[in-house]
Amino acid sequence: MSEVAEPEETTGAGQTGLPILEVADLGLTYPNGREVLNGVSFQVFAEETFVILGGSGCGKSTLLNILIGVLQPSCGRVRVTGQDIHRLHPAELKSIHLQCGMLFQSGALIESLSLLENVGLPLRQHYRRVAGDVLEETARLKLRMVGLEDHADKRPSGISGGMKKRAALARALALDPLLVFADEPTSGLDPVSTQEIDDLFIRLTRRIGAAAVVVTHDIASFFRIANRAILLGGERDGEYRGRVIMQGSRDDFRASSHPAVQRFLNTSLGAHPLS
Amino acid sequence: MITGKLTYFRLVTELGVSGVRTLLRPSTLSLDDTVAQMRSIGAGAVPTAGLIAVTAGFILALVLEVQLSQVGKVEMVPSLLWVILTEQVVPVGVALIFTGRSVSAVAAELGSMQVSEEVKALFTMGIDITPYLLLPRFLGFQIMLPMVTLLGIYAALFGGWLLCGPVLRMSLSDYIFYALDGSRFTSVLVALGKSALFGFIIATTALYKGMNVRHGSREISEATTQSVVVAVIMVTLADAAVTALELT
Ligand SMILES: Nc1ncnc2c1ncn2[C@@H]1O[C@H](COP(=O)(O)OP(=O)(O)OP(=O)(O)O)[C@@H](O)[C@H]1O
Ligand SMILES: [Mg+2]
Repeated sequence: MSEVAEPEETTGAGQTGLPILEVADLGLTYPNGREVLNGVSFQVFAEETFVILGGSGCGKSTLLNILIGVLQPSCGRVRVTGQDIHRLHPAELKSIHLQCGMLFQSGALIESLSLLENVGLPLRQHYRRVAGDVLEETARLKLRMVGLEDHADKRPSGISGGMKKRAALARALALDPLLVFADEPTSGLDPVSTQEIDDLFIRLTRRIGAAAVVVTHDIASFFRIANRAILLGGERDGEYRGRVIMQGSRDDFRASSHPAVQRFLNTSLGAHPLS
Repeated sequence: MITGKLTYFRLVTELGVSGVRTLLRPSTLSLDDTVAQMRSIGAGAVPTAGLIAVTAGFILALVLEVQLSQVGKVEMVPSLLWVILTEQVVPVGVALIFTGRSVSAVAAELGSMQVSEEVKALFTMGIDITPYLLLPRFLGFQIMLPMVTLLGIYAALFGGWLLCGPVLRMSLSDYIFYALDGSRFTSVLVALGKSALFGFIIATTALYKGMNVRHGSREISEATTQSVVVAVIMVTLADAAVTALELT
């Protein structure tokens, strides 16, 4: 496995100062009575890549939806740059959103717009007074960063899954956010494209100095991009269901003897042979 | 609004608030989008609506002519046509055409935007869903339904003349004279009022059903079917209610 963009260098530096994202004692029970998250707490610091690991259906997307203020938690708090996002006025939440980028599991590009218009959308929203052609040029630049400048006028339905993810990444980074959320940025991609997206993701978030919160169940991705991570418990983890099983750096995970961590790493490693 | 259920009341309130805001600051509404929606929802319906209106006018004139000639009152055909077409047939007919063409399309489009997380993505980009997504579609129905209804009235009357002209040997000017003789011009206002009401009903039905899709393509097809059924029922009931009110 080639190690591109070794993330270790920024670990220590990132953890000084105040956290950008603070999650405290988060719990969520869906209206149908299904308890998905319970007592989840962690902090994310500037310029670090924080990974949320967990098996299918353990509540990773649910957690991310709470973090971006789309879903209201049953209990607990989420603070972004010190502000509790679930207690904010819509206008204040909007200004938080402008400092965050979000990369959805399916890409979530607007089907009726071209790639260029998709990337330009947050720009136009934020810089209302700036001339249209300046914004278009900026959007084109963002597309070039992800290598899609030749496909600027295509619709999302006309490009491959990997290209969709890259376009969505360009859109998420359009406003140079402080914090980027990504829901399984590499799901559904072959191992080579997975590595390409991972490398691109790390390179671009590092370049703009953003912190990243990445959800994945791909162990190979985890070892490539993570500074720190948490492992969420799912159905099979008994008392840990919906709770944080472990929190730590990649080395902590490698060294851990916790049976649930072992099980998660080993079964996944079987699918992705790593050195 | 994004993950929880969007109630009908909340939807109408949001549309109202956002509409007032747009009047105060027109720049919040995307003019391009609104025009595009008016074109696809309204202008696209003109050929179908026109054809059906001409046919309906012709058939109704034929029926009336056959019936009234038996009692020797054929000169009443144009004015009866006018009242029946303007106040009853055309407003409901055009509303039903809009329902078949666009209510299903808008509900399906919004539903698939929900499923593919596009609505969430807009929200997290700090974009207000109502002025960006809902208001242009609402205005597409609300503005275009009365306009196409007006066109439909002309088309249906013309269809009536296609029969009255050759069969009753009426020139177009005679036909118009007889049609307007003794009939109320307020019929047109009634027609426009009705179609504005129908426009509101079918627009909000489409938005409501589409925005409440959460996951899965099965939900999209369910929402699409339901939006059409509900819109048809609501338009029919509203028509009955308005007509009853008007005649008492
Ligand atoms: N709106 C909802 N109402 C009730 N239960 C839900 C709802 N949304 C999700 N769930 C349930 O909550 C659990 C967590 O779902 P979630 O989508 O967060 O999992 P995930 O970890 O992202 O899974 P995946 O890896 O498949 O994306 C699942 O068991 C799911 O069935
Ligand atoms: Mg998920």
